[in-house]
Amino acid sequence: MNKNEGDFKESLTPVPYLLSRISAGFPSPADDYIENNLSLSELLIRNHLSTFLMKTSGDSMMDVGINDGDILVVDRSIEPKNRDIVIAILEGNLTVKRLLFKTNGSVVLKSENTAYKDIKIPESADLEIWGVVTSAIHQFIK
Amino acid sequence: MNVVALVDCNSFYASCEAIFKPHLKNQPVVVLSNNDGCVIARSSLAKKFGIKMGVPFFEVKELVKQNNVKVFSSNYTLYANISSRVMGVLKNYCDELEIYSVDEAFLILNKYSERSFFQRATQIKKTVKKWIGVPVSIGIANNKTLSKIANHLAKKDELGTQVVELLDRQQIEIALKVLEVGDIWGIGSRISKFLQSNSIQTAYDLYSSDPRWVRQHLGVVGERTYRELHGEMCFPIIESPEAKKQCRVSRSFESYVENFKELEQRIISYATRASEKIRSDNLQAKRITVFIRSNKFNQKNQSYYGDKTYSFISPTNDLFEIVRLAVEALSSIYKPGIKYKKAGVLLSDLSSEGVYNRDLFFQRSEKDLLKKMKVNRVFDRLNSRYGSGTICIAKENYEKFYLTRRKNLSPAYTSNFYDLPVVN
Repeated sequence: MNKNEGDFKESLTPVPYLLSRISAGFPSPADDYIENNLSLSELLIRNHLSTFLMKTSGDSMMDVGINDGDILVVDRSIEPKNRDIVIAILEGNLTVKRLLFKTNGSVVLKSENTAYKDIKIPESADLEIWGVVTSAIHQFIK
Repeated sequence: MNVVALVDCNSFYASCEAIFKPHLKNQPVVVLSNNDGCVIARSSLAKKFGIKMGVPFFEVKELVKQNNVKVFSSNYTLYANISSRVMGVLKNYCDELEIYSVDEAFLILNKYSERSFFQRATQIKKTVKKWIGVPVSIGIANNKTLSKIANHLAKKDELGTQVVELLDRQQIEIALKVLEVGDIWGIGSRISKFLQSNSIQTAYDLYSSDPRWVRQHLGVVGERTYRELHGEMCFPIIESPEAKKQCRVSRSFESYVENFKELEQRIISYATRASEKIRSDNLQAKRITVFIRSNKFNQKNQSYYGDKTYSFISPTNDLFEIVRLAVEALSSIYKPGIKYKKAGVLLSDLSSEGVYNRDLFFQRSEKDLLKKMKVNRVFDRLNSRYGSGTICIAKENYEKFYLTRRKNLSPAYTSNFYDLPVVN
């Protein structure tokens, strides 16, 4: 299965290289200090098996810096907690909202944009959470 | 004792489609084969409407319409990605894993655990569902044959846990009594007919047959199946199955093709896909076969079948070499005036990349090989990044001939940045 795990990581993980050529000359003293290049996927993805990428549409989460067209990193293996930003299943569709557990056992899906109303769900059992958003990627130049 | 658990994804293709479209969960779904020809997967709701496995799509078009069944073309890119995630999770839970097919795996669960096999299987089921979103059924038994049977029972337990344990002799015997002999793993339709003619109807009938009779009439493999029914382990778990020996890409055409140019474009397209496949598995081919044929079922037209096999001078996975020989093979078998209905390319004698047979009269320089590899790599990267068919050989007509009919294809949710699922 290592091969498959590799598939998810490979494209974003650059391979370290030696500073000095092998052929001739004095080897670079820095060779002993080589570590991996920084990998964004290592930073952003904790669990490659359960992480999926999604794209946002609309401005309902604007106030926390999630803009239209941003890429969301969503991990399904994380247990959703109060105030997490989650992908919830609402009437069969996927939506990104902030999750609030109320003391009375109800749940609120809150948009981070005052133009949108909160969505109240009376019983937490009635709400299915698809996954927890761990980061949003906003590209300035595509 | 260690046990074998067979984990099988429920309606796998339909479940994959539902991951990113949750509303599909309460709707009947079918997935069609290449070219949208036949039904190759059905959600449990679709099964209830009487849509059978493998039926040509046009035969059930009415049923589909009446019951508002959602129809998908097969999205193998998505299914392969989801499959490898599922297998990755399973790997975490067992000592040994045999990936048996895209949606099935045999696991060895060891005896050294405080928790029961049943508890561990339930945990596996829960994790796969949570992490990936795919529901699975699990059968636990002493060997592969019995775990298949346990899984069969688990599948039927739609409202329950979908985890079934068959370790107890009495339970096994009860299960075998209600199972038709032809439903035993490894008993094909020919053997099953033979057994029925010898009044062996149920799995239990075979189980209680004389072992000498079984050996005499069913051979060594049949005897192993018999012994597995009795609880022995005869078929080992094979962790790394032997590398693929061949790779085949073929299609039936939606209408007849007579013209050489058109046939050539198709063959180039299939050769391209086949070479892509073996490159992605780091394999190289020694031989290539091209075949073309007219419609078998249509008696009116002249029937014809032609094939030609060539050997490469040295094993290769180079796109251009493969396409060149494919076209040469086609030229040698093409007959004008035939209405062709199907064609295909087969790469065979596959071996691991990098082993070159040096040929006395045909020495390729290292530099030349490296250059070819680079070109192929760029080709593959462009197609995997921007979608298959982004770059192709000029004579191929990708749009027209490879993607003939995939009208209901869902996006490449997990493999293309332009196809990510959208959330509001």
